[in-house]
Amino acid sequence: MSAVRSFKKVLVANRGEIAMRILRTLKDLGLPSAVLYHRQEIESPALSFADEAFEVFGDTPVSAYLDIPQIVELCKTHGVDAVHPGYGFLAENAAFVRALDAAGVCFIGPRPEVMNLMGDKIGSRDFVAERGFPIAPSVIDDGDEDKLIASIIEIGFPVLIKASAGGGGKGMQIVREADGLRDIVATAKVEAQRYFGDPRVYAERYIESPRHIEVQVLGDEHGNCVHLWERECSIQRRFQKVIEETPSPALTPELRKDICESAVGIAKATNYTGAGTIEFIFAPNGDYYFLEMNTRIQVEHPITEMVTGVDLVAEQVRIAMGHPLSYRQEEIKQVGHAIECRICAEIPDDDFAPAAGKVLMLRPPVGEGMRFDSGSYEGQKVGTAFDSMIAKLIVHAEDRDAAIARAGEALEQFVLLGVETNSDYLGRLLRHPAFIAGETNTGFIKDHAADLGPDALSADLQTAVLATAALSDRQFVAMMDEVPYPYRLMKEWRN
Amino acid sequence: MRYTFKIGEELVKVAPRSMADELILAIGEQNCRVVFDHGREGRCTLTLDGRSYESWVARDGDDIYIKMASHYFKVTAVDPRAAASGASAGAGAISAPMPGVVVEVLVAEGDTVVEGDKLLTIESMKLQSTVRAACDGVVGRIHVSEGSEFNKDDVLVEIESE
Amino acid sequence: MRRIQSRVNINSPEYQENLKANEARLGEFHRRQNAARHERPQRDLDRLARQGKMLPRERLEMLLDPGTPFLELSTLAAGEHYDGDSPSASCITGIGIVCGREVLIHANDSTVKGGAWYPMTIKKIVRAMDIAIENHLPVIHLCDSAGGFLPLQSELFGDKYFAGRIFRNQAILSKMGCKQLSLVFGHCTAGGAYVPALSDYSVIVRGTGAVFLGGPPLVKAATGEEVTVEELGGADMHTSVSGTCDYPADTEEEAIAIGREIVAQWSKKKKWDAQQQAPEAPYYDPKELYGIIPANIKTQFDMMEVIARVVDGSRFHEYQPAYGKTLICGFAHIWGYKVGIIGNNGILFNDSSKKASHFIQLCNQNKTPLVFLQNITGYMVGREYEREGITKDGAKMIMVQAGSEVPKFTIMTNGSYGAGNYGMCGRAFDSRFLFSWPNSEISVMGGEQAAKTLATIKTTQLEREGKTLSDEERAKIYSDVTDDYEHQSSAYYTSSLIWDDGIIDPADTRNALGMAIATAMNAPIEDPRYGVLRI
Repeated sequence: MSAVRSFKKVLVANRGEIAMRILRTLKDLGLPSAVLYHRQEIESPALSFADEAFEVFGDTPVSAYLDIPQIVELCKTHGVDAVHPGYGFLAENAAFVRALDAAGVCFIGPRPEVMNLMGDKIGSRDFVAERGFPIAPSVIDDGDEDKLIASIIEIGFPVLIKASAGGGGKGMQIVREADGLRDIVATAKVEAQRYFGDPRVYAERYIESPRHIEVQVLGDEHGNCVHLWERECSIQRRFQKVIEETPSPALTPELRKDICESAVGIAKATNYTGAGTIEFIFAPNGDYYFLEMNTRIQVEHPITEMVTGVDLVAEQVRIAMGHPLSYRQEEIKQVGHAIECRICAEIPDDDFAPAAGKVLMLRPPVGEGMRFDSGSYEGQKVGTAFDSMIAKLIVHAEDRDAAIARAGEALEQFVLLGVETNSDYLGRLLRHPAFIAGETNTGFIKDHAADLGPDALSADLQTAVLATAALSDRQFVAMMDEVPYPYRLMKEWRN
Repeated sequence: MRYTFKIGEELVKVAPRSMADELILAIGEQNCRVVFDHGREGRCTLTLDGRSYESWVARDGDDIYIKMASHYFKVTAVDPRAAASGASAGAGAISAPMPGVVVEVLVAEGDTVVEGDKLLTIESMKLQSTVRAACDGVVGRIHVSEGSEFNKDDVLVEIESE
Repeated sequence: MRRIQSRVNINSPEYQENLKANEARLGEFHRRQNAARHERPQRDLDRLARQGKMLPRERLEMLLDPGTPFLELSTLAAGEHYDGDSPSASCITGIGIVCGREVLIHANDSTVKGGAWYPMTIKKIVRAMDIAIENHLPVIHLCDSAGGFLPLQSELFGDKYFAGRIFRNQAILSKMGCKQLSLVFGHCTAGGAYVPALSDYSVIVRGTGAVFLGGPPLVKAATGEEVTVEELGGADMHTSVSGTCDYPADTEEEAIAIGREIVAQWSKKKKWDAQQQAPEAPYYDPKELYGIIPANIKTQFDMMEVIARVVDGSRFHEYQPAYGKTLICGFAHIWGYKVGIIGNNGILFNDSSKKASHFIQLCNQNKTPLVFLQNITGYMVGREYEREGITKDGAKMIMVQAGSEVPKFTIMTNGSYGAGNYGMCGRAFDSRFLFSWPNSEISVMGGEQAAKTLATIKTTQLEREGKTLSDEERAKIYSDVTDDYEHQSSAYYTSSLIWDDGIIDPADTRNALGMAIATAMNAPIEDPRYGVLRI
């Protein structure tokens, strides 16, 4: 157990909305801050919001943020003694943590051993299963393909096959029958090798219409560990979350208690320090299975903050400083209901194809119970260099219906022009009767695709849009303005 | 002349019919009484035949982005000349604009090119210039090679349209 | 300025009778106008469609700024000639707004004999270009013409105001700094080739546009050379080899779009700083003119009632209201422009003539444009008036009117006979624009009087030749002569001869004058200067 320390300068090794989010807490805590930036993002508001900004270089913008030696060197040069990784990039990279350790820089997050343990799909499942927590029936590839195939058949269909080393949605597929299984496994191994440099695959029972429910946990160096209740993140497309909410409409108080305590149990078993998320698959019958643990702050953390009133980033920093948790479990209440909508530069009606463009106008929603986390700015060029998520819109209200209504209002208020986003689509999701009824599952978007298409727009609205466009078009207006008096008063007179 | 605007895949012609005490716009086949207020910071108000529409408007070149009635729209002002012109000039031989020497051949026979692609670098009167494809197509015969001298109007490259 | 108090009773029998007569006249006028503009044999329309060409009026509408007026000139030119084979004299002329600039437009009508030029076509084009010269207007030529109509070549080639005058006017316009643009949609052959060649800018449509002195058949006949239209004078040849034309276009629409872009480059000259105020619609409905214009041309009507239905707010400042009352003089505004108005309310006497001379001088000194509302049977005749110097007083009026520097505009509202036509700024006196109402007549003397004289001459001649005439024969001669005379005095006949710039619906007078005056303000107004006045 180490003594409580303070930080002289905290570097946010990230960009975009999460960089802004972390910098805000660092400001609140009175800590000197720094942020990384790539040349492409020279106008990002994070640069001026942080006390200092360090340029990182790379063949691609993403590679710059992944360049461990360069970032460690920046820490040394600029007297940085703590690094907050945000999410993505190096947030779950144990090598980065070790490199920082070697340089005497504190990584704000869990220890690398825990990161390694929980970062491995197979290892973490074994670990969790050994300690008596529920996992879905599964099989791990040990190189013997015949054995693997036999075990998969034993689990029963449908079955989910994915890369053992992978995360997110890459290389996942659902297999519903034994026919062709061998080919599918072979392809999956090739893909696993290609994406993650490890050909091992992993198969588990696929649960139909499951919900994605996760539990936020915090652990400190003093052996304390608490949960901050669950988040339901069932509304997903391409295995990426779109709308998250808390509390989950699926949980009874008993189930909630059960699942949250399981999460704390798992975290405690790893001696977890920092903020983490235990993800579960939640079956319609109430069964739930451990899916994986994310050893970082999550994109959707704000909804937990909204219902608990806890600043998760502040807790992360305090834990890293060696402080005990600020809250005991019984002090953490789930008040009201919160929803997060992820605003992404994409075209939902074209199978969520990424959209590019320049942000010409950005008007965040403002109002009670509304929060807008974004690193976007007017003039920003949105391309494919980074993730398509450009902002998060978070609302909080007394109950779920009120929160849905408020999210609708916030979307109504929100304006982002110049880049196509899923903002219209989010509105359609929020208005969908099944969503309103809380009947969500990870197949929601696919199942309801027919209802979630673009609204039929009235001819009047199109006419109004065209009139507005014409009267906003320079050439059109110039043409009208050029017509001199008295001719403009004579209209289209013909003799 | 009426201006053409593209909304979705649709092309619609818009023109003022009256700019006197009231503004009347012909939008497609429809004539509408219009009052438009640019407001501040992109907040626009349109009254169309007595109905009010609030919108946010931002412009980027010929693209006009609009949020109206909770929906986002992109409308593009089609350049009148582009709207009126047919396909670009067809395939054919690209001839030398003046006598000179070929500095570099940048394509090979059979290459697919799009209008504006660089084909050759040539030098005349101590000035290097680029010969570009005048249309989309496939490079047919290349009549010159590096170092070839040519006269005005000599055929340099042939482009076959697909 | 005081509003005119109208004394017209729209429920009176005269009003109703006039209304009925004028509605019939207007029906006839609109029928003729519509036929001249739009009715063409189907095969001609089919031919154009086959060639992928737009109708001349479609081109015109596309060229003009949307939502703006177009003042078409002389629609019924040649309407009473060539057995109606050259409706509207096979061309469109008028003043319109292109890219916010007033331009004179001259468009060949290829729906009529391939746009060939009849003698009246040339007269109409020359007149249009005279308007451009007088008012310093740029010109846009929409070219699509087969050239001179050969069967009538003796009436269109060689004289001062024949075809050559078009090119002379183009050269003069250019010298004056008035821009010209040609959009070549079809063939420009022989003289027609000079229209684009003498223009500052020209756009030519690939495939259909061509410019050459002699077409392929003529070349073959002259030299034996066989050559295609494209090689001889096509768009690519002229824009890349000869430099005769400036811009190639793939379609007519593109040619028009390029043309508009060219016009948008032209400097906007500052107009004459005329006295102006915000325009105001007339207080009295201009359509009431239909109940005021008499059913019978010989019936007197009050020109003040006409003024009340033409000028802004029906407001009029009358000059010398008590002197020479057969002529109304005064100031008003038309579409905001200050004008001096001179209108007939009877025969011109010595006092009314002198009043006119004085008022014309006032307007010239004040640089106020003059509007003449003609309804004149002439100057008073007789011993007493000659002794008072009516000829001398009329001469003074003609002298100052002809010598005026301010732009003049004339409306033929009813009758226009004899020297009254001169004094009141008839065609010979360079009105910038002269329009006729459908009911109006022009002749050297009143119809009945002239017919009687002519019939007497004819009867006497026949009798001298030894023929004895029955009463019926006498009556027939009289009625034939009268019919001919009436026909030749009618607005349709005089407008066919282009003695005016077109017949207009009386209710359109205010707009036509408004456009004419606004257009005229492109030319500066010189200081007044007159010839010798016989005081």
